[in-house]
Amino acid sequence: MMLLAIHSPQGELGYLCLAAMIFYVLAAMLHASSPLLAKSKLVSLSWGLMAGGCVCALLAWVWHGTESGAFAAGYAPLKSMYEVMLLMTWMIAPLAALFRWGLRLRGLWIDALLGAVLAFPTVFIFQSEPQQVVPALQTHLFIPHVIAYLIGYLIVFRSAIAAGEVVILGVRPPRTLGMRSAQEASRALLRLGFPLITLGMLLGSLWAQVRGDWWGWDAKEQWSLVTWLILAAALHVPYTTLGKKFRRVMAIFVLLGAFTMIVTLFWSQIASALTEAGWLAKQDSYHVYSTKK
Amino acid sequence: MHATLVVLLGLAGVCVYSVFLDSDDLRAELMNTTAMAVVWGVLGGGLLVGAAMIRNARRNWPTILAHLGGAMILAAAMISSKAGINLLNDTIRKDNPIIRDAQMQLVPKAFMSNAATGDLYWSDEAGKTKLVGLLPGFKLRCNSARMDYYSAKNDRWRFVLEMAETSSEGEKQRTQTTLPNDGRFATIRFPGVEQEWECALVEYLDPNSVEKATLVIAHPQGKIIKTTISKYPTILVDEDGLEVREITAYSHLGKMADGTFAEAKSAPGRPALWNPASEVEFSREGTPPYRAMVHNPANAVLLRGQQNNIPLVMVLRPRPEEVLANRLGEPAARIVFRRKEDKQEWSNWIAARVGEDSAVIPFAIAFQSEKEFESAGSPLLALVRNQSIKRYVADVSVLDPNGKELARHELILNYPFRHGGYEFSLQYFAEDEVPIIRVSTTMGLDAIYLGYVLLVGGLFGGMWILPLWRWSRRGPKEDTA
Repeated sequence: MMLLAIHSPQGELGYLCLAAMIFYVLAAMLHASSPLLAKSKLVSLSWGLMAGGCVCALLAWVWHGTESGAFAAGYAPLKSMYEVMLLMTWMIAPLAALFRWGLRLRGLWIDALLGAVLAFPTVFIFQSEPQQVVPALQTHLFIPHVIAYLIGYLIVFRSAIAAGEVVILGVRPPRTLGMRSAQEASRALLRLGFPLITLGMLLGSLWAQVRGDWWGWDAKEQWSLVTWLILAAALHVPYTTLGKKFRRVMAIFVLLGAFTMIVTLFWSQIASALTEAGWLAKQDSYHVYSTKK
Repeated sequence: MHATLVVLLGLAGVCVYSVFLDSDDLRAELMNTTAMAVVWGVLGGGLLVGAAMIRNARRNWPTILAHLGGAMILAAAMISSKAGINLLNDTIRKDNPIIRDAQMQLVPKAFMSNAATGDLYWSDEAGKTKLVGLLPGFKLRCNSARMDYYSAKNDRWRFVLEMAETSSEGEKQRTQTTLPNDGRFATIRFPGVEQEWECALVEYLDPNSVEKATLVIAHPQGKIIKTTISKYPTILVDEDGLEVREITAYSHLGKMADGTFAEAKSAPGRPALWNPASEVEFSREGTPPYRAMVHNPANAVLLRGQQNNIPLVMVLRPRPEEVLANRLGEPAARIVFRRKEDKQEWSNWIAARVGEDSAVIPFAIAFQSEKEFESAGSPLLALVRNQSIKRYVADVSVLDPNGKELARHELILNYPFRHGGYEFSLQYFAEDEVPIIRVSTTMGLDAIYLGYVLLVGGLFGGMWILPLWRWSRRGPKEDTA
């Protein structure tokens, strides 16, 4: 069972994405090693590399959007997994800045590594074939729905990384003065991302209504509801005696929510693989945009 | 609070289970059972109780708003669900039942003089449609329907060979190969056929230049006769003594339920439309006459098998202006096959079918039987539109029972309109550009939208705006976000 095929970088766009990935990897390595080398200049250099990765990915995204005619048609290029991953690749850098200076979170190397992981499929897995915007995607709800979800996903995923630290290392005070602990970081990020995920889901529902029904019970819709329910439960955990007694419970809920979030994002690919293996009946989804008219 | 966790996780569990059901319909059925209605009800009640239990309402107003929004969505969703509507129809709406969800097929008036309809249909899982009701006191009429295309970067049409290939895992997949459409020959190989063939597109026929119907006869022996025929009776006798006569010319044909054809004007129900067509009679001395319906301008009919001496025939006839307006320049093309071995040539016609992206004909040039044709990968030659569809547009009028126009809407995919308690959204175009409209009741919809506003407003208010406001007043160390 082959879920995804690896190919070599293709064309100028492929090399731009590769450059973004290298920038992010270097930023992660430098930032992770800065405490060991005790050189604060390395931190500044890491931010510079992070910005470089962001610019490369942004350039690739704009280039692809121009080439595919998406911008000319008045739409952002967000209709394939390639375009979505590319958007998330450049978005991680401004979000990292928000996390650092807005929410007082440490760990730029985590964001940089996340950027590199997001860039990887744009270089080696997904193809950059320009496609025109199919009629099904031509709605003013398309861009806000996808953008709200993607930013929400990135923030909640970052929350899950902090939650992972809580689960593995336990609840500990912050290592750096003035910064948040992993538990506080996870909760703050969840509170930042959850409204966006809710907005994304409800905008999707409005979009479904203009096609006939505000909730179509599509498999991907169901996964998005599962994610929302688990994250809503995570937000309620600190108010329960269970959450107060066992401080790791909320982190476990966040991790579970992040897992279902990844399943939601890649459900088309996962469903194809499961169908190929004979474990799932073939599903026709509204969310396979590239084949829709 | 623990009960909240149990309900949320329980619902999540049922949703995960539902993902592995075979269809959206089965998922909808599961999530709308009586047991699930109880769970939804408990969740809604929990949201209300939660809102009531929140202390310090002045400080926590966003959380209360979010809870109320969630409860409102659930309440409105339950009322507007299938069971809720049925309950309303059985009690207070007995005389004027609400139809929750239905479809309409709006045949453009160019195809059917009495195109206005209020009939609402629904398809069951087997694909059978049944009438489920009528629009209350008004009808819809499709004045015209069209597809807009993105402009082509190169040629508007591609000439392709499509064949079925068996993958290593034993699955049959159809692959497309683009062939040159400038008269140059390209070599083609069919699976299981030893000889190599060459193929070229040698002639375009532009329907806009055809003032009268054009009858194209392609003999099995490879001979092509193209002639212009006026309305019946036209007799054409070819060199082999084959007489071809047009018996009836139909401007528009509808396919009846029993499989026969009749003029769409008189066809009741929702016929699948076949565009300009002719009933043609072939006769040859010593053999009984053979009549066939030749429909097109696009769909070439292969008349072989029972009547081996009957050639391929197609009719090209100009279309009504309103239909033609958006279909300029769709070609028919003549392709030539040449066996590489002995350079023997065969010729055949292929044409674009209205409302579809491509036109295909099965060709039997190289194959003596259906079995041989299939084993060679069921090859098809097609003219494929080299453009993507930009949008579907249906110009729809709302009419009162006397036919007076009450409103007119340009219905585009993703942009519905509302009238008389229903929302009308374009779903897709069926065969021959017949718009299929999804009709859903607006009952409870505005309450659901209000719930959305409260929920999103409450969440952003509590998790974004209030912390930002506090941060701006006290500094970043005091924020709670």
